Amino acid sequence: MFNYEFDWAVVTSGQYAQWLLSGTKVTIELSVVAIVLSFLLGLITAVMRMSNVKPILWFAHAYLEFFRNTPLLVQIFFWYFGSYKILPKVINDWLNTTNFEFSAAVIALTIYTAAFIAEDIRSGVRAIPKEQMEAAHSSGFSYLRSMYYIILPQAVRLTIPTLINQFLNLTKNSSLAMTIGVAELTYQARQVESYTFKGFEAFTAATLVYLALSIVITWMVTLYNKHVLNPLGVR
Amino acid sequence: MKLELKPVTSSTRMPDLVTGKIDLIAATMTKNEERSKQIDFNYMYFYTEQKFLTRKGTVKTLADLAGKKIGTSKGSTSEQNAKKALPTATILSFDDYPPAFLALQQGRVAAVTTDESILVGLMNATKDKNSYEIRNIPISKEPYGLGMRKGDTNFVNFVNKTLLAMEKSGESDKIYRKWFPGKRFFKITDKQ
Repeated sequence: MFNYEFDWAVVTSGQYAQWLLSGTKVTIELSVVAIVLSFLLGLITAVMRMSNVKPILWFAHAYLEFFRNTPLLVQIFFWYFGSYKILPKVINDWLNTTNFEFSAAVIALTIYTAAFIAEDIRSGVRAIPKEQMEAAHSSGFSYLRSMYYIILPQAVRLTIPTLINQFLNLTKNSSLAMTIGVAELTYQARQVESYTFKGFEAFTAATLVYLALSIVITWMVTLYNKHVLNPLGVR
Repeated sequence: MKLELKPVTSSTRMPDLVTGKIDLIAATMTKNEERSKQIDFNYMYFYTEQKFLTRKGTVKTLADLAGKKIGTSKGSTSEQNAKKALPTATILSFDDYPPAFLALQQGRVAAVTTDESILVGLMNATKDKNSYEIRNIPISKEPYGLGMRKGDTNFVNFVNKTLLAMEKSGESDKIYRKWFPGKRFFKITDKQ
């Protein structure tokens, strides 16, 4: 039926499978680091976005609008190639001695995803009755302390399922890092394809790995819902 | 029949040919056995070697590049040859040659490696070409062929006949001299 000989051994054993495995490792590294950093940055930006201090609010608002509305690929190229023009030579030389391909990809993924996470957290905070903030103030809590001890713990708990969506997106977006030479999973799949011409097998293997990673992340949501949110009476 | 040009990259040119998006690959494509299993080549029409483009004075021999970062293009023979010649170096493959060259300009890679003909093109396209050099460190021979779909023997024969006629009439010599300095040391024959 098909004018093509399938050769699954190419991607399940031997050196090509090793490449796919090492690519998976890099994808997981990229994703985990960027997920943690983007969550922290998203939290900080959300708090800034809801601040009463106008300059802070405007800065956060500008940051969010800019990084949510520009393509991630453009941002990746900016951090890797574009930053060279505006950074001083000393820093550029130092960056070139490090694994800057990986770092630039992490920076781009973090800043991009954090912008979306910040908006999700803001929605979560809006779901908390504002009487809580008022009660906190009247009990002597400053804005930051009310956020940290009272509002954010509740808001984040509510929005974790939505945040997991962002983390899923981030994991898949990590494939864009291959454009600046990061040897992650999609890059390795293309390598296998160009060496063996078995493109169907290579990309099927990569798809299954991404699917597996996403299922693990989604399964964690189900666990979280079952053991944390539902007992609290939140549906 | 009208000629229609379509830009491709090293990694897309073969899939494009096989799926019928293009009919002939004339894209600095090296003839080799692995590719011959998937597509048909005509006689060699150009010969070059794979070398390294570096900043002037930074590299003298192949050993100077050990353990460094080297840029090239995805899906090319340059990538595979570089990995064989420099097992300790990190080969960064970009989507095409211009980003690889940009990485060299920004010092992110120590060299760009591919066919000398392409390196010359990259070097001449930039303003400060005097800060770069291509040292005579060849790591492979690259005979170019035009790629066509497997089994398209009529087309392959037509292309070969046309090229041999151009060689006989001296037209291929004229074209070479128009674009490249120096002597041409290969000819299009039917022995390749």
